[in-house]
Formats: sequence, structure tokens, C-alpha cells
Amino acid sequence: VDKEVADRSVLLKNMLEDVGESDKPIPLPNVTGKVLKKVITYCEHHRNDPLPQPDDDLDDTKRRSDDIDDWDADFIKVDNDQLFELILAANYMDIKPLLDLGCKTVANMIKGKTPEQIREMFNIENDFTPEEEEQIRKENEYVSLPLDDSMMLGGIACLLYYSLCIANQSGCQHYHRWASES
Amino acid sequence: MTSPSYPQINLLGLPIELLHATFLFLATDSLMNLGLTCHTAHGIVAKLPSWCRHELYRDQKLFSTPEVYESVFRRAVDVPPRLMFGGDASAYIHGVVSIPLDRESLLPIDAALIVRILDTFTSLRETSFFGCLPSGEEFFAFGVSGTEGLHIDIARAAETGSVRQRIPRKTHCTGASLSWGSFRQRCLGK
Repeated sequence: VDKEVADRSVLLKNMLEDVGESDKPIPLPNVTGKVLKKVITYCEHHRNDPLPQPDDDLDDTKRRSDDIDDWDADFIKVDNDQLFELILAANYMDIKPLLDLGCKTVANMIKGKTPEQIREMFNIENDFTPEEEEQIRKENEYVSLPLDDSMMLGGIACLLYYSLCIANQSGCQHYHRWASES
Repeated sequence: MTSPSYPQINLLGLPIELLHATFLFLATDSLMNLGLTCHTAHGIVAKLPSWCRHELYRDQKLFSTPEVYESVFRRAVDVPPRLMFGGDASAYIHGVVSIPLDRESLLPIDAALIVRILDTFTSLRETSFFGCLPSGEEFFAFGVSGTEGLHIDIARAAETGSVRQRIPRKTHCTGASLSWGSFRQRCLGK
């Protein structure tokens, strides 16, 4: 593997700096050959990307999971076992963009799913008693209002329209008429 | 060289720091559903930061009595369901910087709605929310900062100009804090 590719891993980069120029193999005991091959594919594709900076993820407001590019999305289409292995390998080898990709993928799999769907997807056994489940549902009540898609879209439209109204310092007569009629 | 074999892992078998890193991409609605899957998931989700667990800061001095303050919040929960958002749609509204919530008598101001919007649309966390109370004399401005959580800035309207002109600028409250549980209890009367 090229040094440029190996340098995508902070672990390998540091090890290479420590051992200097050498043909000796570097042991990676926590990564299987199959996963390592996949990791190398990722690193080769991203060999020219800028390296992530230490404070890149300090801004919590920029954490979003919908910004996966097409190549990455295709790369990460693997079964759950391999996905988790990739996440573990990325964490062990300190390849932050790959770790983020894995975490975002798992998050995207969870989004919009019911508890039952999440259990089925990740093979999670429901160990709640019906009473416990009911109690937690009650605790969550304020965020669990049932909504249909049209309400959701209507809400987003209101939000955006109001923002535009404020930006333009104009009245929102059209919206008010529409809202009171609907 | 033969690769060693490792036991199969499942989602909740990942190290806790990786689960935290993953679940930080989820809005509260998704976290709640995840927390309903099993005890382990519920325990992990309970430890994650989310807006429902942020403390709300208040400046009670600006209200004549605590009762007035409480009545304001009670009034705040009376919001048209149309404006209660659900799901994960951060991508669609990324970049919105201010949201008025009252507009004449159509939309009474709603603190719970603001928290819910922040829960759901995580990209909105630096957005300001503002609105007049039905009397038109008082208003709130809600600002969010990364380290200090959600602020509720309160001021009295000194003029009758537009809502925009009456938004206080960076007035940070340092009054006693009100936990989400107490806040919700007061709002919902539970």
C-alpha cells in the first residue's frame, strides 16, 4: 500500500513515522483481512482528500447524516456485520471520515423507523415488559405526536414562508388567508 | 496469512463511544424510538444529550411575579398542531436563521414548540425564535449557543414598531434555571 494511502489512517501514519523507512509488515491484530481490504479501497479512493482537522467536529450544529456522496454510499452498502466491522476498524485505525461514514449510515438506517422496525433491522430482542414499554412511551409523549406527511410538509412550508416574510419585512397575508381557510 | 475469526457483533455491542458518535446524528424522535427497543438502548439514549434534557434558563425578574411567568408558559402550549413538526428533515431547512412564532393572533408563542423544533431539526440550533404574546406588549427571543444550551431571553416591548425591530440583541439571561421536567409539568399541567 502506498504511504499516501496508509497515511489516511492516523494509527498507521504514527506507526510509520515511528519505525521510519522499513519493509517490515505492520501488525493490525484487530482488523480482519476482508475488512482491511475494504478499508484500503476506501483510503485509496480518498487518498487526495484533505485530512480532517482535530476540531472539525466541535461544532455540533453541523452534524448531519444526509451528506454522503454517491461513491461512499455505494461503498458502504454492506451487510450489518460488515458495517459494524468497518466502524470498529475505522475507529481502531483512526480514519475519521470512514468512521463518520459508518456512523452516519447506521443513523440513517434508524431514522424514521419504529421501535419494532429497529429491533428487526438490528436483531435486538425486546426485553421490556408491556408495563415498562408503556411507561417509556408516556415519558416520550411530548415528542411522539402522530403526524401525517401532509402536516409535516405544511409545517416546513410555513417555516420557510415565515422566514421569507421576515427577510422581506412584508406581511404574510397570503399565508394567513391560506392558514385560516385550511 | 489466515485472518483470525471474531465473534459477530451487533449494533448495541459496539463500544459506547461509537454508539454515542452514531446516535448524535439522530434527532430526538429517532432517539426515542431507539430507546424503546430494549433496556440497553434505553440506557444509552438516556445518557445522550438532546434538547429535551437541556435546561431552560429564565429571567424571572422581567416578570412581575412567578405566577405571571408560569401563566405565560401555560399559554404557550396552545399551538395549532399544524406547526408541530415530526421526523428528520434537517436537510430541507438548513440555513433558516430566524423563525417568528406568533404573527397576530394566529400563532400564540410556544416554548414547547421551539424545543421540539430544535429537537427535530438539528441544523436549526443557531436559529433565533421570537414572537409577541397576545397582548403585544411582551415578547420572547430564544437563542441557542453550543455550550450554554437554550436561552429564553425575555424583554418588554418599548415601542410599537415591527416585531423585527423589537427583538432584543444578545440579551443573555442568567437567572435561575428551570429543568425540562418542571417546565413540561408547568406547561402541560401534569
